[in-house]
Amino acid sequence: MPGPSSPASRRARVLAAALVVSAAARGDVEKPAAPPVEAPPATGTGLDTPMLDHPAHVASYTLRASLDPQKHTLHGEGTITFRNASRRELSELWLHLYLNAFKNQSSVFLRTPVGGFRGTTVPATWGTIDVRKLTWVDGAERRELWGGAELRRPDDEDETDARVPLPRPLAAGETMTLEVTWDDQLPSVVERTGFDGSFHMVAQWFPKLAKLEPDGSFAHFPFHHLGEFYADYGAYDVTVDVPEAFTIGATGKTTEARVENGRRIERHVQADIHDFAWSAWDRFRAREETIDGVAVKILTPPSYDALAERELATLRFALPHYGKRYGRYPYDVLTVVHPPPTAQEAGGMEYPTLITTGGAAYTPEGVLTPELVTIHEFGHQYFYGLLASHETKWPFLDEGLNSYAETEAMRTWRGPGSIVDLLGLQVGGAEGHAFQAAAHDHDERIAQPAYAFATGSAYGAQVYSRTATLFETLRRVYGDDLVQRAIGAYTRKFRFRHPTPEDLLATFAAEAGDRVTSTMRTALFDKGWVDYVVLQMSSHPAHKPAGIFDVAGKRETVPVDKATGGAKYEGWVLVGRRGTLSFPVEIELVAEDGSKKRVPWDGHGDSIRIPYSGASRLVSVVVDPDDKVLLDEAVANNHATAASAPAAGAPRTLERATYWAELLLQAASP
Amino acid sequence: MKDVTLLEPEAMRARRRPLAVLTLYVWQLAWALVVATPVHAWARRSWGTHPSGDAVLWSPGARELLAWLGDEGPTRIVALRVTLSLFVLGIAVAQLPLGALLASLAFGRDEGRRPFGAGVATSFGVRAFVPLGSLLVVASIVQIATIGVFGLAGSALATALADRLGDGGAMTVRLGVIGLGVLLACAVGALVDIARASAVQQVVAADAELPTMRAVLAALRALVTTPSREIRASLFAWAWRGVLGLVLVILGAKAADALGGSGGLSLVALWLAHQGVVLGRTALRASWLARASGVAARAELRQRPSDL
Repeated sequence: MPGPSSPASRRARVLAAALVVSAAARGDVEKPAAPPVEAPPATGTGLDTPMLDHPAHVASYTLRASLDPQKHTLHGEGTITFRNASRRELSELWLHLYLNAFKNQSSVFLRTPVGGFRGTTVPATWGTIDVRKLTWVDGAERRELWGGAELRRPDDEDETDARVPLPRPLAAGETMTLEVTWDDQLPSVVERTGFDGSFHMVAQWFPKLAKLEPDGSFAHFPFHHLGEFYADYGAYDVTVDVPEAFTIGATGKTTEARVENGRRIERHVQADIHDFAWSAWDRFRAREETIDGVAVKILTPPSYDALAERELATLRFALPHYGKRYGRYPYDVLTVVHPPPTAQEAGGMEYPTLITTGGAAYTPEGVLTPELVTIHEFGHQYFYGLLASHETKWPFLDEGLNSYAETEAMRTWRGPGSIVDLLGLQVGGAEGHAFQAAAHDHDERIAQPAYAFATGSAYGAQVYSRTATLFETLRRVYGDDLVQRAIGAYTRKFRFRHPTPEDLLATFAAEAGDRVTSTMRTALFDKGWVDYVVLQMSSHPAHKPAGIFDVAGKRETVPVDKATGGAKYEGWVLVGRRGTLSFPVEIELVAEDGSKKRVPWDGHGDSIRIPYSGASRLVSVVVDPDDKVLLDEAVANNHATAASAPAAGAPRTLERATYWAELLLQAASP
Repeated sequence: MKDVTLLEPEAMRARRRPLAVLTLYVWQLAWALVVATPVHAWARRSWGTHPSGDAVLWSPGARELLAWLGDEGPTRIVALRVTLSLFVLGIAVAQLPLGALLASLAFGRDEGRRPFGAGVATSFGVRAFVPLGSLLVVASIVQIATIGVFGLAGSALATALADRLGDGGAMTVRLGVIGLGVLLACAVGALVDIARASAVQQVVAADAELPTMRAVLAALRALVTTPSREIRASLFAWAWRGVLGLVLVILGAKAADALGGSGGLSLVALWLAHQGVVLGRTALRASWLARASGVAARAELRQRPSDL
C-alpha cells in the first residue's frame, strides 16, 4: 500500500523548509540550513506548475578521499552536517555502509538468491567499508559515537545498515556536526561500484546517513540486490586525490584542480543533491561540450570516439527535451562515464550530475543501445535525482516512470525504430517494453518494494516494462497532451520533495481525471491487466423478419427467402474485455468490398455487441487497430475473419522466410 | 558409362550447362520453401486471419512481430524445431544436387559435346553422395576449428595490446583476427570445393563402385598436388565471385528497403528481386565449381603418368 503520510501536510512542510534554506543552496555550501517554517503551497497546473529552486538541506557532506589504485583502497575523512528536520527529537542515527554488501556472502546483497537481473556475480575480490571514527562535535564537547554503534542485528551478518545511538537527544530543528574517518576496500566491479584493472568506479563509498522522515524515523535498509537508494538532500563538497596520470569524473562542478607531489587533486562542489559518486582511470579520453547551458563531459575508453559522439548527440536532444517536459535541468554540469568493456557492470547507472552508460565500440548505427542507455540514465536526473523518491520501497516511481520517459524521448527523436532501425526492420522501445510486460503476465504488483519481487526478471518486467507500458498506453489512449501535462505537473510539483505513489496519483487525479487515476491505481497496486478479444461475428443478407404476422386483421406469412430489406447485408460483432483494467478502444469493421468503419467502445462492461449494416458482407473485425492499448496482454486475439471469407494469409512471412532459408542453405551447404 | 566423357578443363564452363544451374536453383528454392513452411504455417495460423494478413508483423514498431516471436506456446517450439531439422537435413541432402552439378559441369555425352540428362546426373549425384558428405564433415570440422583458433588468438592478442592500443583499438584487432579466421575458413571451403570436384570425377570415371575412402583420398591428393600458383589463381577466382555474391545480398536488402513488400505488386516485385539475388548467387557458385572442376581435372591429368 502507498505511504501512510499525509501528502498535503508533508508537502507544505517540505516546501516551507526549502524556501527558507534556498539561500544555502547551489555553491553556498558552508552555510548551515535553517529550521523549517510554514509557507503556502505552490499553485499552478500542468506544465505551468511551479518548481522549487532548491531543496531543504538536511545532510551535507564535506569529504576528502585519497585513492590507492594499486591496492584499490580509499582513505576518507570529513564532516557531515545533519539537521533534525523531523517533528521529533532523535535518539539515534542510521548510517548506510553499502560497500559492506560485498564484504562476504552473508550480506543481504550476496545471500539473496535473486537471478535474472544485473549484478549476480560473486566479486572476484571483496569490498569493505570500515568506519574508524565518528565524532559528534557538540559545542565544546566531542562525543565519540562509533564505539556504541550497532553494526549488525542478532543472527544477521549483514553490515550495510548501522545504528548509532546518540548520547543525548538531538532536538527537532537542531543541527549536529559529525567528524568521520573511514577506509574503503573497493571490490572488483560487481554492480555499480568497484574496480577493473586501473579503472575505478567509486560509488556508495562513504558512510551515508539514512533518509530522515518527518515523523522522526529513519528510512534505513540494507543494500538489497534489486533495490537502490533513498537519501536527504544536502550540499556536497568533496576533494578527491588520485595519482597524477588519472582522469577524474565526479558529481558536481570542479572548483579546484591541481597536481601536487605526483597526485591529482580535484575539489567538486554541488548543492541540492543526495549522493556523490566518482570515477578515476588513467586511460579515460575526455570530450566536453556545452549543451543547453550545461557543461557536459564524456569520459570514454580510448578509441570510443564514435560512441562519444553518439552519446553527445543523445544529450543534445535529451537536455532540452526533458527540460521542456519535466522542468529545467538545474545543475551546471553533467558527466557521462563510459566504463571499459570489461567493467560493463559499472555501466548503466545514475548519480546526481553523473551517469554511467554502455555499449560496444562497434555498435552498428541501426542498433540504438548507446543512445537508449544514455537517455535512460540521463532521465534518472529527474526520476531519481530531482524527485528523490524511495527507490527501494517504490522502485516504479524512478525506474518505471523513467522507462516511460525514455521510450517517449527515443520515439520523438528516432521514430518508430527507436531500439533497432536496421535493414528495414524497425523495433520500438514502447513495443519492446510491451512485449516484456506481456511475457511476464500480471502475476506480481508493480507497486511493491524491490526486494519483494520473486525474481530479478519479474522486477525488470514489472517495474521497468509494465510501468512504461501503462503510461504509454495512457498516452496513446488519452492523448499525449494529457499524460504529458500530468507527468510534467508531477515532476515540477514534487521536485526536491521525495514523492510517494499517492503524490503521483493525486497529481493525475487533478490533471487527468478519475478514470485515468483509477486505472493507474488498479494497474499499479492490484495487478491490473486487460485483454480485448473478438468473441464472435456474424453477417448475412439483410431481411425483414420472417414468420406469421397479423396485419390489419389479416394473417400473413413472410417466408425467409422473401424477407429482403433495404441494406444488402447486416450482422454483428461481439467483442469482449477480460481483466480488471478498461480503456476506451476503437473497433474496426471490414466489409468484403474493402470498406472500413470504426466504432468506439468506452471499454466499460465485459463485452459489447456491435451491430453491422452495409452494402457488403462483413468479413473481418479488428479491436484497437492503431495499437493504442499496449497493455493488452494477447494482441493476437484482437482480430478475426469470417471462416467463409478468404484469409489474407501470411505471404510476406513466406517470402522472407524462403529468401533467408535460401541464403542460409547457400552459406551452409556448398 | 561408356558414352560419358571428361571434358577438357578449359571446356568446363557453367554457361554451357544452364539447365544444370537452373536445376540447382530450383532445388534450392524448393527446399527453402520446405524449410520455410513451418514458420509460414505458424504465422498464417496466428495472423493469417487479420484483414491485413501478416503485413502487421512487419509494420514499424514491430509490436505484433515481437508478440508473435515471443509466443511461448507449443506452436513456436514445434515450428522452430521442425525448421531447424529441415535445415540440417537440407544441408545433407544438398550433396546430391551438388554431385549432379559437378558431374554435369565436368562430363558430357558424345565426346563432351552434349550434356547428359537429369536422370544420369542424378545417378552420379547419388553415387557421389557419401564421398561428398564425408568431405563436408571434414571441411566443417576444419572450418570450425579455424574460426575457433583465430577467435582465441584474437582475444589473446587484443588483451595483450589493450594497454597500447586502447579498448577500441584492441577490439579492432580482435575483430580483425576473427575476420581473418572466417576468411581463412571460407578459403578452406573453396579448396575443399576442388576436392569435391575431384571426388565426383573419380566416382564418375570409375566403372565400378568406388570406395568412399578411396574417392576422398584421391580428392585430397588432387588438392595437395595442385601447384601453388594454380591454387592462388583459383582462390582469386573464388574470391571475386564471393564478393560479387555479397554485393548481390546487399542489393537484395536495398530492394527490400525500397519495395517494402507489404503486399500486392510490391510483394511480387520483392520476391522477383530476391529470387534474382539467389539465382545470381547460384550462377556464381556454379561458375566457381566449374573452375574448381577444371583444377581437379588438371590435377588428375598430372597424376596419370605416375600411375602407369
